Amino acid sequence: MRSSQDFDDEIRAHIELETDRLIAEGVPPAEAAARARRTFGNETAVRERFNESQRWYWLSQLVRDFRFALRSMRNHPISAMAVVGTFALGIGATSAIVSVIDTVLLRPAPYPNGERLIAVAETRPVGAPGTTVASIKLEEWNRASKTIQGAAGYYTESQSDTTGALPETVIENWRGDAV
Amino acid sequence: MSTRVPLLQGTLDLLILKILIFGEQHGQGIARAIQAESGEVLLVDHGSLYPALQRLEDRGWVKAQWGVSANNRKARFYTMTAAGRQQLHREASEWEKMTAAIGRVLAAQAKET
Repeated sequence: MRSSQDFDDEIRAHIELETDRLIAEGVPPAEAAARARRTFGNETAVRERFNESQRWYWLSQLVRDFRFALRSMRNHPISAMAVVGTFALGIGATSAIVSVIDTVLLRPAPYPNGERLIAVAETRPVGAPGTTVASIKLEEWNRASKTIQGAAGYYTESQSDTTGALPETVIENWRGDAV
Repeated sequence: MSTRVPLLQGTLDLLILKILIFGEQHGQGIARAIQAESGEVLLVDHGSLYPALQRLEDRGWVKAQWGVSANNRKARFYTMTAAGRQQLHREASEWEKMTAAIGRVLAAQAKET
């Protein structure tokens, strides 16, 4: 890897050699140096072309852009904070939603063979009351279905707990096991 | 001073390689040699030589090493590699083909029908 210092040295050497040559040809020293520079052309442009041709040029550009970003943030702290806050809220909300989708929709339920669990329901004509399944049907499904290995259901019942000072409603959960 | 023509795009590499066939040389020497060998007709912007040399070096066609010039100045000397010699042959024959073809087109006469 060649340093730009090395490249600059080479340019300087060139100008010295060219000046020497012109002086040897009889050009006055003061004019020789100026003419050597003139025939060299645009030194800065040549240096830039060398720098841009370097393999890690993109990295130095990246570092420079990064520094510039930090500097701008320091100069405008309020807008920087607003942007950082926006990003934080956005990223937070997105990752919360994604983790919900992941656990609820994408991951199988946390039971053995959870990926084989499905929920089954009956649908009824619009306006008809109730969406529950008669428990006798579970037995029917278990007996007749070839698609599912076993069906189970649950239902809840409201009870009154009167053991305390005041009565309380208790939801009782009943479960019918798969065959 | 006679009229000078600027170098054709893409020909600098070829000329550098050709000059280096005579032995190691530093950038200023190459620039001088191109100008002298062309009968002072070709106008070489000395600065454009160095990115070109760097390119040739990156491709492995020339090697460079710091040394001391005849008049005791530090200078970076370039030598041609074997790959550079092959590249010179390739580019030179391409150039000859192209100039011959252009010459034929320019010399074209109206055809009788």
